[in-house]
Amino acid sequence: MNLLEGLAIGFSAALSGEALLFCFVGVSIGMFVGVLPGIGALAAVSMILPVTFHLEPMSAIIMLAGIFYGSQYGGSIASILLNLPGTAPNAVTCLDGYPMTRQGRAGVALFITTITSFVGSTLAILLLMGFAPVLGQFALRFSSAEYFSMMLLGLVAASALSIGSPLKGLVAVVAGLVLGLVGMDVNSGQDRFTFGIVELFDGLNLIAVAMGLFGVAEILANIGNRRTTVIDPRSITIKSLIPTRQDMRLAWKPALRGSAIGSFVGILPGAGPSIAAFMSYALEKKISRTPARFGRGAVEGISAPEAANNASVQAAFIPTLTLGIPGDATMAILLAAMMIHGILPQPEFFSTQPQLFWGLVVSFWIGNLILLILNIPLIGLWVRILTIPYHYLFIGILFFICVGVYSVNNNPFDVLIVIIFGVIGYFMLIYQYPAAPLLMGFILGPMMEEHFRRALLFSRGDLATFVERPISGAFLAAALLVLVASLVPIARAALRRRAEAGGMDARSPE
Amino acid sequence: MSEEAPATRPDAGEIAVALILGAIGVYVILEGRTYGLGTIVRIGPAYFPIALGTLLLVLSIGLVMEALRGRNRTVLPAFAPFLFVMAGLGAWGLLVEPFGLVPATFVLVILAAFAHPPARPLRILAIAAALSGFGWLVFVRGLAIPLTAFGG
Amino acid sequence: MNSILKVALAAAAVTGIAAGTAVAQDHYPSRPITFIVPYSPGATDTLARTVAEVMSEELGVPIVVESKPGAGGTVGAREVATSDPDGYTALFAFASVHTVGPHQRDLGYDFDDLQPVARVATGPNLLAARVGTPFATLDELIAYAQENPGVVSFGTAGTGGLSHLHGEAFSRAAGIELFHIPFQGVTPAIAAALAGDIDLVIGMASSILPQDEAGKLVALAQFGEERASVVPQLPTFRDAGVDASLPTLIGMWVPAGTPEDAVEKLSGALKAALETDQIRDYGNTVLVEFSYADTGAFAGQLATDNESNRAILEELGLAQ
Repeated sequence: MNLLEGLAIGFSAALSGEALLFCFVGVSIGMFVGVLPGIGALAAVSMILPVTFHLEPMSAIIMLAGIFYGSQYGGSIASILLNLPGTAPNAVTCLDGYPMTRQGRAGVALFITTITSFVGSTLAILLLMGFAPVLGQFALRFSSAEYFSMMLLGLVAASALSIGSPLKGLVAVVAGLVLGLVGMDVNSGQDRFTFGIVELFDGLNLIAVAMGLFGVAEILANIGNRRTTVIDPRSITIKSLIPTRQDMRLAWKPALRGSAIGSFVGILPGAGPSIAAFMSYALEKKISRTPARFGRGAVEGISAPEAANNASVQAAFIPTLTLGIPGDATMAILLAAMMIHGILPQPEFFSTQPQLFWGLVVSFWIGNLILLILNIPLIGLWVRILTIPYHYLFIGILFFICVGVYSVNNNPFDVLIVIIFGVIGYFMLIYQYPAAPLLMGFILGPMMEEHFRRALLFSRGDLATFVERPISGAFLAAALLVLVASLVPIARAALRRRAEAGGMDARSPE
Repeated sequence: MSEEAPATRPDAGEIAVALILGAIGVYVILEGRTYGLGTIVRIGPAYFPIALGTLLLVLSIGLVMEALRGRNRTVLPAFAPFLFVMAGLGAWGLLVEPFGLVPATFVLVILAAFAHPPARPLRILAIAAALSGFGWLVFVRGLAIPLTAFGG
Repeated sequence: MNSILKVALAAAAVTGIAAGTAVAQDHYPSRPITFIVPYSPGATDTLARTVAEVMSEELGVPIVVESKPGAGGTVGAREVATSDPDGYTALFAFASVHTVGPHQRDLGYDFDDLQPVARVATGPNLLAARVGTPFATLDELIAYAQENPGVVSFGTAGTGGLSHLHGEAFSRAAGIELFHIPFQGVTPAIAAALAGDIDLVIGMASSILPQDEAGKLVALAQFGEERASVVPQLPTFRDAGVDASLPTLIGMWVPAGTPEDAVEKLSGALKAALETDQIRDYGNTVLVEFSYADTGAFAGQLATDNESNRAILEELGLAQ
């Protein structure tokens, strides 16, 4: 069957009244849940799951999938407006999204993330349509050695996330890696740095760490400055909501690159949208001619990671549908839902159940289109949140942080983690340690250790496995290249500083 | 750079932070040593903590040197607002399961209000009511978060 | 007694007299019951919800199913173990929270702090091989592994988890040496088996069977005592002459000290629920072997399990 036939089947299936209705309901729930920080698609999907038992298989899966990818659209809103990352990939959106808000460009930022999200999803859906079985097989070639090397590249690139002192950026990464040690070691079952606290056996809750470092720290800083409102209400005009031609010109190429990275990462069941978002951000900053703009409201800094994280979520359907290997817990529920309806995901799924496969894929795209259409008019509304006087607004933010963090494990212990990381994040702000590299280290550290050690189990202790496996070797070479490329300017700057300092001492007689 | 006031002395806070990080590095190494190194085939849980602790320690020395070269520019903010925000979050976490969402939210809102005057009492109570109402409707009823409005 | 109470309640209702607290306290259950499922939503909680729905009709009160994930289920188990022993909080979980976790670390509860109610299901947990190994049956695996000790690798959802312990118990019983490779959950272990990185994988039928049917994995055996009705074609270890029966138990617990009458009511309602067609059909679709055992039988099975797990954990150096 060729692509056109497939699309024809798909559109006829996905444009039926029932399919459209469930698609709409799914993405709407997803979007709403995504806006609320902390509570993710997982909670919503698992709650709706029993309801879908009584639906047609296709309607059920269209709706559940819609919740999943729909939640990605909502996630950037709180990040951009309030520096409040509801999920880990959204922390990247905070980096330039929130500075844009501070400059009165919140509307533009939301507009751009909505469009780039759509672009990213669309590209990944095209991949899903054209190459799903091949890509599924490719994903299997990623073994622990490859994951380790890829994440090492990500970690090296993480230095690009910092602004200010490169040394502090590096310290933040290492601190994140150290924090990632907390919890039960997967390989040995040994508890590390848990102080006997049962809640710490699974490690520190990522959402709680992110909300503390970004959300709470920002609130503390704003209160300290006695901020009245985030932006001037009078500055909200229709024109201020719409990106300029210049913005779009800056945004589109990073969005495409982000989509590509996101699609690639999404295919791998062991990676996920956080890594996609972080990596695409790092890439844009590395290749930018004006890297200094990043972290200060660069349009590229939101368009790339948003495209990447949406593409990654959409591409994650590839291993789920072709291999029956879900990349995360939400995908696992989707898979369970398919099984309950007697659908077995496997490469032949495309030919054995063409109507279902194509209907599903086309509905993904329609769902994204609905999300685009739903989101644009809401931007003006979201931006109005910022006109609430800050001394009331921050109270609301605190409440949403509490409930959101609680909802992840239904455990108030995680609220305590938020407090601790709020304090840490606050001091990091004061002493200018960047939070994003810490988060990146925290996310990547445990995975890198796990894969490093498992790769050696696979190879029975042969370290050469990392170099001999071609994909892994290529990633290691790239990591080395990036490392050298980023060390050169640091060394050069250090030399120059030393020279300047010497000159200054000579001039000022102390 | 050169327009700023000349250095009087290095920032004590910066140095303190660097020393704390170094101390954490030492702790991570010492604690890590108790975990077992394993073999090259089956690398033990001590390996990464020791490596990362060492790295942190080395970097913290670099931080101390950077701080000694730098000058004191840090402005430490007022302590009270900070305390109220933390107390509010802590109170919510402690109260929400034994007493329910509504009391926990009221205490959070009232404590937080002290962090950033000028909040008017009636408004604050209205916000507390609105937030707990919204929270109950959306999170408890809508999303089935296992909390009650009142009581455990 | 029961019928008298029912009459009394009916009479109270008919005459419009609200059933006061005195009556409510005498009669169990008189208010909603909470089932705590100590895992992330998506799998076991759906199972619990489906069973709870039927049980709630049986008991005449609503049953609320709560997810309380963390530390392999022990966070939720601790919550139940330390809650009021009034019969209104029950744990719905895998037996590992009762017979494995407490040996490994101080959890704030011990084996004796949880009172078994009844067994809900017995897995089935399966042993499967990747495609292309030199063995296609359990017998061939044992023969091959005896000749090549430590060569055949098996992947599980984590060191010290039930699958790991069962894998070790099986290899001891079969007199073979397998090479353990732990994963973060069973899904990456299956992916590694598909990719050929590991030879064997142990996991629930719901994860393994679809891959077996697609021809990507070869299911070799089941860990349970008897052949499960959802996989009647697979041999048990006993069928292959290996003296090991390692069923993966799913069950229900209440805090120790819960009144016997409440335990009996819950157990009875569970039994009735598991006998319905609705639950039987559900089990067949999600590949879970519902299999009721009453309080006494379940408690006996758990006690045996507890001892054998302790022995293996100590041998592996994983006991606290």
